[in-house]
Amino acid sequence: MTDQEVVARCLSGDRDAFAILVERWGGRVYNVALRITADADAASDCAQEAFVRAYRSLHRYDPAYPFGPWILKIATNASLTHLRSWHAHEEPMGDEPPEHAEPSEAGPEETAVRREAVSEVLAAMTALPPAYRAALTLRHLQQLSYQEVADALELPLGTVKTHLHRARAALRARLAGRRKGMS
Amino acid sequence: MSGHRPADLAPEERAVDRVLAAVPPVAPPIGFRDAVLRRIRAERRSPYEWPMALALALPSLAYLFWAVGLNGSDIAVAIENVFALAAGTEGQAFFSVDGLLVLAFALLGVGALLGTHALITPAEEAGR
Repeated sequence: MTDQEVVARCLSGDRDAFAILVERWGGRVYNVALRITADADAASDCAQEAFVRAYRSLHRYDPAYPFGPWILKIATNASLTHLRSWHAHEEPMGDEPPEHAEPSEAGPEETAVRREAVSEVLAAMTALPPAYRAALTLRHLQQLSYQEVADALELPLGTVKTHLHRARAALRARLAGRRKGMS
Repeated sequence: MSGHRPADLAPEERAVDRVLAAVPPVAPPIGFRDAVLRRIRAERRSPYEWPMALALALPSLAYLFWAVGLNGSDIAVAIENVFALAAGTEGQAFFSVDGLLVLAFALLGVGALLGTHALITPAEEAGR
C-alpha cells in the first residue's frame, strides 16, 4: 500500500491506518530531528510532535507529491521551533556517537574506526548553526533533492544552494580544525 | 527521495556527501510508535470534551452568579447555618435548599472534571 493510499484511508475515517505511516517514516523523522536538535530526548519529542502535526494536517497533504518530503518538512519545522524555544538554549550533547545505531556487518576494528569518524563528523555538525544542520541533514543524510530541501525549509532554491555551500565549507573547516587539534 | 544519492548531486558535494552518508541511522527509542499513537488518540478525544465542558459549565456559572447576585444574603445565611450545624454549635438550624442551585453546582463540577481531563490527558499521554 502506498503512502498516498494510507493517507486516503486515514481521511476516509480509518484513523488507525496512521500507525502504518508512523512505522514507515518514524525512523527517518526521528533521525532528522536528532541531527537538527543533537539531543535524543528532544528529537523524540520533536518527532512525536511532527507526527501529531501531520495527523492534524492530513487533509492539507497533496497526494500528487510524495509523502516523505512532506513529513520531513514538518519534522524539520518542529525541530527548528524547538531549538528556538526558551528551554533549548542549553548546549546539546551532540558529540556522542550513536549508541544504539542500527546494526552493521563491519568487524569490531572497522566498527571502532568508523565510530570515531562518525563521532567526529557529528561533533563538527553540532557546532554548525541549526539552519545549516537542517540543510545538511535533509540533503546528505536524507538524500533529498535541492528542490525538496527548499520546500522543506520554505526557502528559495538559490538560498538553499547558498546555505548548503556555506554549511559544507563550515563543516570541512570544523573537521579540519578538529583533526589539526588532535594531531 | 529514494534513499539513494540525489540525482542532482554536484561533483563538489560528493566528498561531504560521502562523509555524511557514513553516519548510520539511529533507531527511534523503544516505545516511540506507541507514544505517537497515544498522542494521536488523545487528539481525537479532546475535541469533544472541551465543548461539552463549556456547555455544562458556562450556563451553570451564569446561573450561579445570577442567583448569588439576587439572593446572596439568603445563601450566605443558609451556608452559615449548615456550618453551625456541622460544627455542633447549634442543635437545630434552618436552611432552605434551592434545587436549581444544587443542579448548577453539580453541572459545574461535571464540566470542570471534563475540562480537567481534556487538559491533562494529552500531556499525560505524551509523557509516557
